[in-house]
Amino acid sequence: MKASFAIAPNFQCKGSWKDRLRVAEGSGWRTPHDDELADLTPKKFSDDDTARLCLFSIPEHMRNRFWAMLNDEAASGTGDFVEFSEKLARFLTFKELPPPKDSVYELLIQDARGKVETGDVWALMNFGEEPILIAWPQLQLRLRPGEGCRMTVSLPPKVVQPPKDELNVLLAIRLGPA
Amino acid sequence: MDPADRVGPLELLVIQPTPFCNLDCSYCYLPDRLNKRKITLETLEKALNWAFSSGLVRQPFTLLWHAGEPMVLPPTFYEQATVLLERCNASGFEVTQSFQTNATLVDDAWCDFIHRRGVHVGVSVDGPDFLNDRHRVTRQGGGTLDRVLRGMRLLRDHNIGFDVITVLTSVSLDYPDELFDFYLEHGVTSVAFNVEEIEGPHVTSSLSGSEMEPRFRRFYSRFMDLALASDPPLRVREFEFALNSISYRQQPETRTQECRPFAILNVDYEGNFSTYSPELLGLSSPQHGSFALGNVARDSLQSVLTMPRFLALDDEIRRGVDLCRETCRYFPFCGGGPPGNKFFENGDFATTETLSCRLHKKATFDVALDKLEQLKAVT
Repeated sequence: MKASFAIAPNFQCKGSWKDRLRVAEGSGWRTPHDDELADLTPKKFSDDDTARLCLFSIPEHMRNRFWAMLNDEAASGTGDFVEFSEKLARFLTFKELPPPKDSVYELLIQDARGKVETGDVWALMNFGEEPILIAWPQLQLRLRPGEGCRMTVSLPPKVVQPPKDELNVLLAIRLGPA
Repeated sequence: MDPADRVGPLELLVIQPTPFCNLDCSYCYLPDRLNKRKITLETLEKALNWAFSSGLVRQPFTLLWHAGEPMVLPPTFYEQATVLLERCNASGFEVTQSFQTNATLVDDAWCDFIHRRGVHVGVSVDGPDFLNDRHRVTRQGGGTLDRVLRGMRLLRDHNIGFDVITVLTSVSLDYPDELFDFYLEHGVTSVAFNVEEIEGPHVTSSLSGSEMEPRFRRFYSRFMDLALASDPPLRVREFEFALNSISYRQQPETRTQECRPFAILNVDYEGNFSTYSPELLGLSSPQHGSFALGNVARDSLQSVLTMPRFLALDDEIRRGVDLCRETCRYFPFCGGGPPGNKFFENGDFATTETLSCRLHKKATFDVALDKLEQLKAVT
């Protein structure tokens, strides 16, 4: 199955696909040509829209709430991740991008050697301050701070490790136990 | 009851300094916004004298500069206007001057005037660029948000508080979180939502259609959850209106300035005046003729009150309010739908429900009740 991308309905993401996507060339990466871009971001999709990778954005007030929750946890052990997860789910549901029933929310901090298990990931969100690279064979997606991507099970990505001394701060929504 | 016994009290004087607007918003109801003519100080003085000598003025009294972009005229004009206002207001009523502006022309001189004279400012802005610049555009079709934000920033830099009015269209209803972020980011502490209405030359609304009401309620409920949870809570005019009505701090008859003759006096740049909904100013209908009832230079209040055209208009509007009272369970909260909306949507003032009623009144009231119930359940 080939990856195809779209902005999720009812969301606005700044920047262009040309800025976000990179295709492999030799040992490096380059901006996709127009024909490749058209192929990667088709205007029309089949009814089975779970086959596409959907980009979305997390509102600023929710990102602030996320960091406030982490600060509460660090300061007094009172950060409530479950409550935050419920608020996030309510937001996504309002946006008609509802997380699957029984999905599991996980905070992931990835360092330069860390590996993120993505086989059961429904969505990944970048809650950090720096972009995160999500990779498939021959293809990379740059996830800006505050952006998320709804994945497709048939195309599990790799989360590229951050540079040394930096951390990726991600929130994963994983499919619940079958 | 004779109309003469029901007029006023006059609480709002809307003066059109110019019909011109430097923007060309797609949903605007103003019919003549390319016209660059301006009110003269002579006409303004007549308008102020007309209002203050009518015997109808009651505190709190507001002079609203609107029905065109008021800041097209320079601050020096409003300095002179303020001197006139003080002179004409011989009884010393407390008067609040208010500007409803797109804020694109705000500069240091404006801020100095606004600050010094204690003028209230309402800024019209529809949220982030993908919402605002969809409808609030220049005559060339370009976006305006950058200039609006520059104006808002200048106001903030001069410690001038301002309210925001946002017009909601069908697209806005998917973006309550983005709107909330926008207000927080730009220091907005008080917001009012208007719905895209069918008024004057704007004959369609993206919010028409039965599917819009549940979408609107969903939007407004989500937005109120965010606004009430913020610290300090973001003030929302419609929510406060509903709370005041529920608690009966504000009686129905005081909620419906637009339905009462000469509770609002609308004066255009030539001195022609109307009452009831400000949106009627400058318009006419085959049945009613011009909605302008006279001119401040020629026509006294007494002469208008016996004019057949006014009596017919007043009778039709009053019958519309009676119908609202008889048929609408929201009447005790609302006091009667805006006549302008009834006329533009239903073609007749003696009618009831409009899009504005469904969304702006009923839905916001229901959501306010829901939120109060939830708060009660928590406490």
